[in-house]
Amino acid sequence: MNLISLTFAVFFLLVLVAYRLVKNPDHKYLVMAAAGCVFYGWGSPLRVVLLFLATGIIYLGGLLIERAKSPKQKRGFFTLFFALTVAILVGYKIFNYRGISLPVGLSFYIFQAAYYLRDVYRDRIPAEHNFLRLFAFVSFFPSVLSGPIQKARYLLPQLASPKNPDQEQLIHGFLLFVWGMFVKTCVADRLSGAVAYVFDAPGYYNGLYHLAAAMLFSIELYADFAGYSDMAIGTSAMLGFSVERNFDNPFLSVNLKELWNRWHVSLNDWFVENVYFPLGGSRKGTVRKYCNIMVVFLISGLWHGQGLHFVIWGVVNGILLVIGELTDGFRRGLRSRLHIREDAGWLLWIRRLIVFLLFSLAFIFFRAGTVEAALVMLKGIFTIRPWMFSGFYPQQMFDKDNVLFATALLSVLFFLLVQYLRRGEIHREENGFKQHVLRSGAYRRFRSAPALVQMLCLALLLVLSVFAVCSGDTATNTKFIYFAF
Amino acid sequence: MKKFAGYVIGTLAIAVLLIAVTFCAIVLYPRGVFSNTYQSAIQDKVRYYQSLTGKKIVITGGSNCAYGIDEEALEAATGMQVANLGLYAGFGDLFQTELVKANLGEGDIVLLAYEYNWMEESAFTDILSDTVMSGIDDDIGLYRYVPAKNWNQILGYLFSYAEDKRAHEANPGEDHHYTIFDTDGRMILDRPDCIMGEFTEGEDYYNPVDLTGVSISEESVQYLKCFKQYVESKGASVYFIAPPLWEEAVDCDTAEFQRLKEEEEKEIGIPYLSNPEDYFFPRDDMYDTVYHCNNKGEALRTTLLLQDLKQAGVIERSGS
Repeated sequence: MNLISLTFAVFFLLVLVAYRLVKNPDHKYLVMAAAGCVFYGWGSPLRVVLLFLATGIIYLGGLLIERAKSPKQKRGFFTLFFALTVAILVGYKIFNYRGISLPVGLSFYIFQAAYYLRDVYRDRIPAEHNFLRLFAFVSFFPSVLSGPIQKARYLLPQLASPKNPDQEQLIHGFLLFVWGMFVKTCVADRLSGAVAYVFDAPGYYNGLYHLAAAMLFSIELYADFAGYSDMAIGTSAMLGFSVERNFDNPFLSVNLKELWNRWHVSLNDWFVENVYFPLGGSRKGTVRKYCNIMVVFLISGLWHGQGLHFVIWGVVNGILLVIGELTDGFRRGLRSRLHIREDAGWLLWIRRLIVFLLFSLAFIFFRAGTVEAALVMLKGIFTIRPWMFSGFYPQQMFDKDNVLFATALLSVLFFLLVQYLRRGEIHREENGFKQHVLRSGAYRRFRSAPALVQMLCLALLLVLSVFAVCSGDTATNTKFIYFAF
Repeated sequence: MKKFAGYVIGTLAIAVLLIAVTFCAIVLYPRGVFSNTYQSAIQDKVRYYQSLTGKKIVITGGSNCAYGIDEEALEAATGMQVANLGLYAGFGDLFQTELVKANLGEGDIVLLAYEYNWMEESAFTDILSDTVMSGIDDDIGLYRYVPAKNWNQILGYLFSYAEDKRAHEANPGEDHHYTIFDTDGRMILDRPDCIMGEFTEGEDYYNPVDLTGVSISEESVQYLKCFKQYVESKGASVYFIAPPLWEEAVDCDTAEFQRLKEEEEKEIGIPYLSNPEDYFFPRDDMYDTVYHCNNKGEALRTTLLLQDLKQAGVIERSGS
């Protein structure tokens, strides 16, 4: 079931009503479990079997870990059941390479399930004895398809002791949902055609177009994924759940390390907790630290897909991050010798631009589909000549449609502006749980406007989204990029 | 929760209002921009159809109906009024068929004269927004015949339609409406001869029809079954009739036409009155496309149609 559909609107309304009608908080998780079944199984009921399988494995694993008689036995149970859980994903990834389609959301709820085992192993939460409540966690429908990947130690207690959302939480959730839908349909989807124009035939274009396409793809991916995340977080908020943030203005990062702490945060956290830290993290020396970073990015690349271009994408990002870390001291020293303040506004924006460019260049491998196509584009970019600027017509990437180009440009600028205004969002931190968005200055200003003005603004976003969805292929327009992973 | 519900409902209501206002503004202003186009004749056809009372013959399909039915001759022979809604396959068979619902009554006879691509998957699922919207123009009431499930196509094309209007207003071109149709939407264009050359690839009228292996899509079956039920619920009856087709455009074994006819009757249950091969016409009877008749061909097609109606007992059962 797609979040951008009338079916989901009706479904969510029914869930909201049912959730409110169940007065006993000890039973509310049953509504979530049922909703997870319906949502995930919509159109393909057999997929729910996988949810039950994953839940069954971690249910048994959690109980055994908790009852282990020794640390060695505990570690053994954890390793076994963690491996079994992840094996479902690995198995499907291998079969996917041979043409069997990957069930949508599999990666995300497998990662989420694996989180539960680690949290029990680390004694962060007791093992869940209620199978259906655990199922409600694994099948948590707002995020089951594409994240944000939820940590059991934060979501399970909320399922066990649910709170009805207050008026502000409800409206905030609704706002996030509408905003996310606008970002997906009016920003990401407006850019996808322009990006495809160049990426599908790189040989026909020069380096300027390659560079433009690479940068637009970064924005497209950000808008697509952040849009979905906002919709998921908004849906959760309307049900009274606080969930992990997933994007924290990544393009405001001044170095790649910061960017990867702001981009797809929930997946990054998963890799850090379940790959980087177990390998030793930064505790076993600098060389080992950088090797661990490379391993994380290599696995991340492999997770995204079978092609060599995905692996190279991961490796390139790892190398760039390591180089950034290695040269950080040198660059700070250089700025100090040149008497350049670290917080100088112009410096921050130059650094952000460089980070964005590096990020976009690396993502060429991600989007190009093949290594050869990526190399064609990179070669083009690194051989940009001044004369190319006079023949550069970005409208060409938008089917030479000036109106389409202008609206895409405006929507991107609007999106980036609003995201920038959201940078001051308060993240309440409790034991490392960076709760997404309580209130931001921008949100407070919006809510202080008359109700009619607020509704008009939201209605405008909705109307633009409706027209955007209707103007293309609906099936494509409402499909999110990360459904494929 | 009540305040939140009010907030959401208020937002949705404003959104719906904004969409409606935008839609009306683009469709209604300026008015009549496409009045000189061929497809705008659909407004006259529907208006005439809606003005009829009593039993009638309602024909729909593509332009083979506009260029191949002598309505007056049919009326004289049957004693029934004839509403020829067939105008343009470019609307899509779905929209052409939905227009039949504009004034269907007890004892009416509906004749479906689709050109030979109606079995395709999209024939009864999609509408062709650009032609439908320019055909309807500012006759906003006709939008009620666009099925609800296709409204996303209308909304999606709305701004492109605004652009089409602007471009057409600036450059309206020749009159393809009032020189071809009268005010009731009946063809008045004199077509004494065939204006096509040899049937060769590269010519704009080159459109061979090959039904080898073609079967009726599930979507077409489902839609036409529902349509048949609708027609019968109104006390009317519905039949398939064959369109005229330039014999040189037949690019397969003629047995395939019979196979398709049998498949249609078996899968959908709408009687197929014609023998398709009777409607394979020589060049002398055609006009400017493989489905369009000239004056002579129109007379022949109308005669054949009358014979088919009488042979099937349709006229005697419902006629004067």
